[in-house]
Amino acid sequence: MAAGGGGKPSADAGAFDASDAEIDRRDAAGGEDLEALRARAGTLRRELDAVRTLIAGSLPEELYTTELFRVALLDEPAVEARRRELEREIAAGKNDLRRTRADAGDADDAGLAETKAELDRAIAGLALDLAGARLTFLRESKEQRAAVLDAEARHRRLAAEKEAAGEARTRAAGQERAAEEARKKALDEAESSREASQRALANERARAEGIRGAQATLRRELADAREALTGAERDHARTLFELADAARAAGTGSAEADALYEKIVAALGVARHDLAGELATYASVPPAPRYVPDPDAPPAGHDARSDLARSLDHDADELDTDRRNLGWDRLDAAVERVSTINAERLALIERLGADKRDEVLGVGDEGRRQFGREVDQVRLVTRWAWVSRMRTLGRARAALTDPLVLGTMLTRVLALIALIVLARTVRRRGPATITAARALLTRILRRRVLVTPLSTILAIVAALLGELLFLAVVLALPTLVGSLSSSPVLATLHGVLVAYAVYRLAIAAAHRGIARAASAGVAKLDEASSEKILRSVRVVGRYALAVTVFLVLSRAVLGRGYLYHLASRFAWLGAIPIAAVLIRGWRDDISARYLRTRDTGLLADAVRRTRERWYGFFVAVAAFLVVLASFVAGSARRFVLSFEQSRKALAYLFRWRLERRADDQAAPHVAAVLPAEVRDLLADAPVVGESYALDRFPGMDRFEAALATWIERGGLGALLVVGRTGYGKTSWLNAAATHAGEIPITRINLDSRPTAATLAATLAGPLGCDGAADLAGLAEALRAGPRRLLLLDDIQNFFQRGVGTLETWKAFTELVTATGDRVFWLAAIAHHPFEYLTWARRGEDVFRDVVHLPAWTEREIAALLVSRTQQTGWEPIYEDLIVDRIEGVDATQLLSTSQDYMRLIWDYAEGSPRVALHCWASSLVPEEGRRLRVRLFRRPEAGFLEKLDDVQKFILAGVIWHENVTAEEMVGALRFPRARCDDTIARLRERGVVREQGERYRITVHWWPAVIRYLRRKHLIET
Amino acid sequence: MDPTAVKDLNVVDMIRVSGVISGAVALFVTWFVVRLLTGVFTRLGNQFAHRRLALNQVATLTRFVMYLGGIAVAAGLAVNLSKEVVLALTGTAAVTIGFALKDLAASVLAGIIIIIDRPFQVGDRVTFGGTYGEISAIGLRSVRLVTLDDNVVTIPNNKFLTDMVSSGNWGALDMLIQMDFFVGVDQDVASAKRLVEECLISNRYVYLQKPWVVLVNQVIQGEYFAVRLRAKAYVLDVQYEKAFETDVTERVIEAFREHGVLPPAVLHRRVAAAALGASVGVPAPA
Repeated sequence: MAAGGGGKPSADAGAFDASDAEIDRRDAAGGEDLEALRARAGTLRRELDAVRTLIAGSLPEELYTTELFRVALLDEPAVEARRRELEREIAAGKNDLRRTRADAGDADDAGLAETKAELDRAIAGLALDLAGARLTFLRESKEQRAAVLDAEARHRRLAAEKEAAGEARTRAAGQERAAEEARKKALDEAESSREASQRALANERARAEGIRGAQATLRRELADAREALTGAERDHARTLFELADAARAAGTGSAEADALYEKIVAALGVARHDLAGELATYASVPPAPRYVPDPDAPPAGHDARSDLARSLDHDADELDTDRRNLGWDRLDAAVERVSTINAERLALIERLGADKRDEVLGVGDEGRRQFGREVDQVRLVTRWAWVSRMRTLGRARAALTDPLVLGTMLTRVLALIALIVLARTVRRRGPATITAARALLTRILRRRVLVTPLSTILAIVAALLGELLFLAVVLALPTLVGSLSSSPVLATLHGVLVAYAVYRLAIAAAHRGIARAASAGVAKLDEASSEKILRSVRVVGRYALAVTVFLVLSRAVLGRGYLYHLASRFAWLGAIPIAAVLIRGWRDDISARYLRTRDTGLLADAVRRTRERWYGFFVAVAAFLVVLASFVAGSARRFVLSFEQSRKALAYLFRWRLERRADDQAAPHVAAVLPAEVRDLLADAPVVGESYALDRFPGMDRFEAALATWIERGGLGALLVVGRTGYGKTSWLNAAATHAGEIPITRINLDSRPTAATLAATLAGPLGCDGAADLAGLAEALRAGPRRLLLLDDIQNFFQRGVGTLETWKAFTELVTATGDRVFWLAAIAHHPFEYLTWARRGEDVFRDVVHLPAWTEREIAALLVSRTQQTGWEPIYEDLIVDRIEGVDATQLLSTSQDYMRLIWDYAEGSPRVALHCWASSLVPEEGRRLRVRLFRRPEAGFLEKLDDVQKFILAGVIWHENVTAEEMVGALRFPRARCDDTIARLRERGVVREQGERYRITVHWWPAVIRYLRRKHLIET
Repeated sequence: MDPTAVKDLNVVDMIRVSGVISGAVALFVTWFVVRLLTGVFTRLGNQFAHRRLALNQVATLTRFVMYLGGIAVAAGLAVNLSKEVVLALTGTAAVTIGFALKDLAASVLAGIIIIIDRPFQVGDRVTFGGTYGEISAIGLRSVRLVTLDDNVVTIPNNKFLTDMVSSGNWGALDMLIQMDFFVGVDQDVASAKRLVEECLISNRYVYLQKPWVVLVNQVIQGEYFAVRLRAKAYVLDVQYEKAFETDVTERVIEAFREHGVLPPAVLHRRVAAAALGASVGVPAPA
């Protein structure tokens, strides 16, 4: 700024004055700008300090987040937008800062400009820092921002309360002074009164004013206490906020977390102490001073004295209420403080280091201290619940006067009633509905694989309907009644109810399961045992329920603290006495069961000797463990064996082990000559009603029904039996003959392949129609003859692959059609020819009723072999097949080995009883004492088949495709040269793959499984 | 990323001398194992013919994964691939692959797509760009196709991304075979059809689990009106495709000859009975 000189004005004085004024104006304007800039810088600095305080985990004293961030902190999109805005601000701020620094060098007005530039730079720097700090805070998690908002709201409330308390104190002080003056005045009046009555009246007024003064004093004290409370609460809130922030920042398993835990426990101790003090104080609140008029006082201004008394009474009531409210607020604040700190402690327990955690939750000194603290907590919570009972009831009563609350409650009660009615209705009508659903499912799905599991599920639902409904109702309660999280008591009750509902369901499921097992005879349980098991299940269930309820209650009262963890970790210990009780109760059954399965050995002797002794209990424990292990192993085995592929895998494994052992022993396999009676009974020929024949003829009922219908009503009588080689087609026809009743029966076995021209001649002889020259004649003769049952075996010989070779079959079907009302045609055909026929004729056939003989199951094959062997009167010995022999052989091992071997045979035979009998007979080596030593049968050398070339492969397949075939037929079917066919067949005969029977070739029983598997692998047959 | 680390990159420093040898050994081991596995899978395929295509598919997948893995291991051993190097080379590699090796990269990626998308498998009979044959290998870069006259055709994988390819059996051993037989319009079509049916269904290579059909249509064959008998059936294994066609054709010709069914010809012909046998399949003289 330029200084003005004195003296005569010069020529350019006007200009000088004007310039000076301009400078003054600029100085003034510059001064105002500087003030504004300084104010701006101050504001920015305060805001920056406040944001940094927030980031550091504390609440700022003056500024709130609404002013600091100008965004709703819980609105994620808004926060995100603000973050982007701040990022832009930061980028722009950096440019501003660079520019202001550059401008600083160009300033022409040195003094002012420099100051202004400095301020500009400072403001730009502060704005940049503030934007960075804001961005840092806004990048915190939403939970953290919510915590800040909560703390801030509390801070605001407490500030408002403090202000109100201050005003109340001022008012009370004024009232106190006024009352004191009025009392003094009344006393003066009393002294100056000449009459006793006036003096008495003045004294009475002075006493009343004294009471008013005491009330004012109390009001002031209450205001002081309220102000102190809000101050303390603000301090506590700040401390809690900082603790929570530190807890969030502490890493899991870190030393900081461990140290913070100690700090929190100390704070909790103080808070609990405060709470205990508040509880004691709340229980002993003295009443406010009250004015009781002197009955001896002379009458005067009755209304005035009554008004005074009423006014003082009213004030006393208000003071009592204020006092109680203050006490309650102090108590409430203490409880909340304890709860908040305890919640932080519980959350921190999960993040303590392993050592610290073990120390805190263990049974050492620290654990005992934890236990003591939690017991104190329980005591405090109980006292708090008792103290707050009337207040809670009062609040509930007050809430009920609100029509909206009342309406909501009514709606929920109605929903609850509707739920109960619905549950009762479902309970009543459920079984019938489930039965109908099962029937519907069976109709719709039809596939057994789906229907069976669904039916099982529905049956389980029907059996447990009541318990399931109870559980469903309990689980649905929160939805109907509203969230229970706002009411810890209701939430706890609900948790207990859920545990009880699950307990009921578990017990009922166990009961039903046992009853089902008992009724199905699977577990061979009688009613008493079933009840006993049910009682045992209840014992276990009740213990589990008790533990669960304890956990629910301890979590509700104390959180997942010491007691909760203690119960969780050591609940299993309760299983020991329960197991002891159960084993004691089941001791006799365990011993009996053990001795039934293992009657020899040290443990068995001990069990027998100690059954009547007290220490037999310990032996029973050992026996129980063995029985349990055996049960688990048996169950696992049964489960695995319920799958066919598993059985096949086991069979393969067993064979592999046997073969490996045989290789190790290098024992040559010598085919044994069986005694005639054994050989006859184990022959693989079809059965004709022998006593040892198993009554296994699937579809026989269909034949009987069809035959009866045909006899009664006429129509076309035709039924086809389809089966693989050795599955029992011929035996089936034999059995059918015995089931046919009185009807005349004729049987024809086709051992050659007739042509269409020779068909009549082939059939006429056996049918007793020798005069029939052609099919028409034969049909006429059959129609003229008696009604009869005709059994035709091997009708695959009516066709073969080749051009014109289906003519015989067509002629045959025409004959069946023409004579079906007089002759019941029961025919048997091999599987692969039938498959070809069905494919070639695309389902167009006279035999609409077809019985497919299924493969024999493992159980049926075993039954066949065992029954035939028993008929021989010789005893099979399985000792040579035991692969895990260590020392001695027990009955269980022998039984298991025999089962494994039966499974092996079943697997190898592909369910064919003929092959199974052949393998079984090949396995037996007779020895003295009418014993048959069972050894692994020798399989054909499958490597031979692998060496076959393409032509030989097709010739082998041709035999299977036709079931039996001549060399000439093979040439026609496969169109290979005759010499090649003859050569291949000769080779196959030499190796025993095929056998010749009247110029027709068939696969031998010995090679049949190997050939079938080989052709499947080569994709020449599919099934 | 530290920019100086990239700036200081030196190709020579990136190569590990000992790693080059190890990488070469890794590549050799990979090649050897792949050969071994291919042989095992081939033998298994011959043993279990009904699972041959599935085994081929597994072999292809294994080969693919092993080669990619082997190259990755070899590269990891031979080149010092620190994080900075990988990051720095990524862009360079992208540009290099984009311009210099784009066809190769496209083929490798196409190979992966073929493995995942499976438009065909090893063992399938496919037609691609007018070439028909059996897929013998699906490699990292190309697909090998063996034509029926035993030529090996190599097709870059990326061609399959844009061009149409048809698979006759698509992962199955069996395949539909279609054969046309022509007879004169004056012939007994019903009889001819029955003969074609019998020849078709009696064939040793025919697959019984899928249906067959013979369709009749009238067409102009050469200069003559003709009845076309179109036989459709599945061959039980694609390797018998031509044998199946041959056998059916032989049977049909023989049956036509036996039953006097004549091929297409100018109508109102007069053919000597003796000439019937030799005229099947060849237009008879008017």
